[in-house]
Amino acid sequence: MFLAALTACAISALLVLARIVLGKTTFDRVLAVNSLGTIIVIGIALHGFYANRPEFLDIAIVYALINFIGTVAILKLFSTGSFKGNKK
Amino acid sequence: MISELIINAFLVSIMLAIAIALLKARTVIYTVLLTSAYSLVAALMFITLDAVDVAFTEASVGAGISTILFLAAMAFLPKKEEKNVTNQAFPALLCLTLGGVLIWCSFDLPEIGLATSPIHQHIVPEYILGSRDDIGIPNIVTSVLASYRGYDTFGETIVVFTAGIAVLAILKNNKTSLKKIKSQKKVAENGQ
Repeated sequence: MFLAALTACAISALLVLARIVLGKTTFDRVLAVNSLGTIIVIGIALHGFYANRPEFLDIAIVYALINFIGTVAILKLFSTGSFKGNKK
Repeated sequence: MISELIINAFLVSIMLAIAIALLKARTVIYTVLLTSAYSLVAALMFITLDAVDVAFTEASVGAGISTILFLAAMAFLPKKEEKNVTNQAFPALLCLTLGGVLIWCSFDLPEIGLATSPIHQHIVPEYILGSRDDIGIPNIVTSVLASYRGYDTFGETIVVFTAGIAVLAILKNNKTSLKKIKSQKKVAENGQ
């Protein structure tokens, strides 16, 4: 079971890597990097399961949050062109 | 053990692929995205090596903060990078030589986790035995960081403090020069 999950993770990581390298538009690449982050979150959870350390799940959650913040920052930069607040 | 080796090899090959793609990247945003992906994989690598705190720092600083900082800096840069025309043979040779020397030296390292290796013999028992009497706090990590390696921590604090002062000085200078330009413009407009 663990091996199957690990293989699935590895294959999806390779697919996402191909998307990052070959990606047509920048948005494809942003999405691919975000997906790679998600795969790594799953990888951390799997490793916690494998090493019998359930506290790794907390770390996986924090990773998911960091990943989300990074993606939001990139997309905000694209939509507004800068990180300045919305001045009226 | 074998499966761990396979996992590590897989992660390292992914990092290698990202690094090669990074070499060929010519747009700034692509470079930033690849660096972020590299940091994420490196963080997973650190976790499989049981260095959870390092992995945490790598993910939050490497993939989180520095991506955002790079992007913020990128907003001031031209969108495309010029092709590098300088000769790259010498830097490549230097990198290969240094890497080769490092790998060659790594054969002399003691086996990972060996209890008789020098780092576990030299000063660690002293720390573990003396922590309670020397410092008076039960947490060994805290006593090592705050007291045994107090000079290290002091130096780090000084470096971070200096960097903060430098950044503040640059930013403040920039503001005053902007104000000067604005006031000069005003004077010029009033003069006309």
